[in-house]
Amino acid sequence: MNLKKIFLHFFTPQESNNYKAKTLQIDFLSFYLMVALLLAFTVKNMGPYVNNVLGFATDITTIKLFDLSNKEREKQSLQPLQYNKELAEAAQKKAADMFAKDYWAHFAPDGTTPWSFILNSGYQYEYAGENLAKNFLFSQGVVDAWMNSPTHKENILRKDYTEVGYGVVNGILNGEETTLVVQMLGTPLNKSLSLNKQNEIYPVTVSRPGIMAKEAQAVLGQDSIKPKINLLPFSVNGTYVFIFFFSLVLIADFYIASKLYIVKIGGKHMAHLIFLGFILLSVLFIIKNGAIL
Amino acid sequence: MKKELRKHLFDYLILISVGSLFLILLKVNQGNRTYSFIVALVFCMLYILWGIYHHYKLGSLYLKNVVEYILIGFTFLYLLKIILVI
Repeated sequence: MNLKKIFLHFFTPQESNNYKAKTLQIDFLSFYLMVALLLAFTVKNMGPYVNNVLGFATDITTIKLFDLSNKEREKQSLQPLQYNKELAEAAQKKAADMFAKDYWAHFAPDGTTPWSFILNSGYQYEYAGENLAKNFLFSQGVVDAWMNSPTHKENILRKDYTEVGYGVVNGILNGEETTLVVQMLGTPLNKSLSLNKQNEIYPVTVSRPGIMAKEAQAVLGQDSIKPKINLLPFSVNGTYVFIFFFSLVLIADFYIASKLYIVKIGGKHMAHLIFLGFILLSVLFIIKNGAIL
Repeated sequence: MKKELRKHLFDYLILISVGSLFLILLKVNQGNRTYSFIVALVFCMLYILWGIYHHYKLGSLYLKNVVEYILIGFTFLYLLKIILVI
């Protein structure tokens, strides 16, 4: 068999494959399922070893969040935010508090406010704000979701903010393995300005006169450790490629079989294509993204 | 394909309605992975049931057909499971 014959045997209905593309036959479908099962098992059980060292199989890092947020500010000709390790510490403590007390909100059930984490980390602010996200897979998804929400967007693009810190923490929230992302934005206290400021409280933004001025520290977070190997982008992109490949073979097989008036026993290609279409839509627009607050 | 759609319009409308409901239910509680997986599992089961119903109606219900729907349904369910990190 030459290459062309092999290609046609695998991807189009021929006499050699009993008029159904070999890649659509039961043995190949069983092989796809076995590969999917093996991948699911690997990601689930080997995740902490081969994925992001921070924990679960997500591709969210503080470096990416920091870069992407600053890119959004640059688009609006705003000054980039400086990374502040005290805000990062506050963000991590806020995420840890949400896991410890099992809540998903700006304000803890016991009344602890977002700004108490900031003050407790030693950051004296003139303005401060908080954005939250959970269950996202990629840093880009987190920043995109924030930018699509007017209040979160306002926080990221607020001119008053000069510094930012991130917390990306994994844990169990409401009985579910979750990756929480906390973005703490702030402006260190400037005494001369604070005299004329009033307290302002927004859903995700707080500002109040501070107590003492403190020098900003532009240190990029040390919690941003690059993953060794990350299976997640591979899995997501692999799913897209597989849906595309499978759809193409289905269409080719359906088209050629109908042209040749071939009647065969098997599932309906049209139904498979509709099913794949909904799966693709769910991954592209819903499952890949998490929730923001 | 148009011919196939027109021929079995009612059946495909059922499948498209189930798929649309699947997307709506996912969107309603976006970010809840366990819930999303359960919704995907139900969608996969309904897809298999749709296959059984459709082929039964056409008089072409064979084990081979049912196995094909099961293999395709569960392959994509497991791919979703990986993305959902469950």
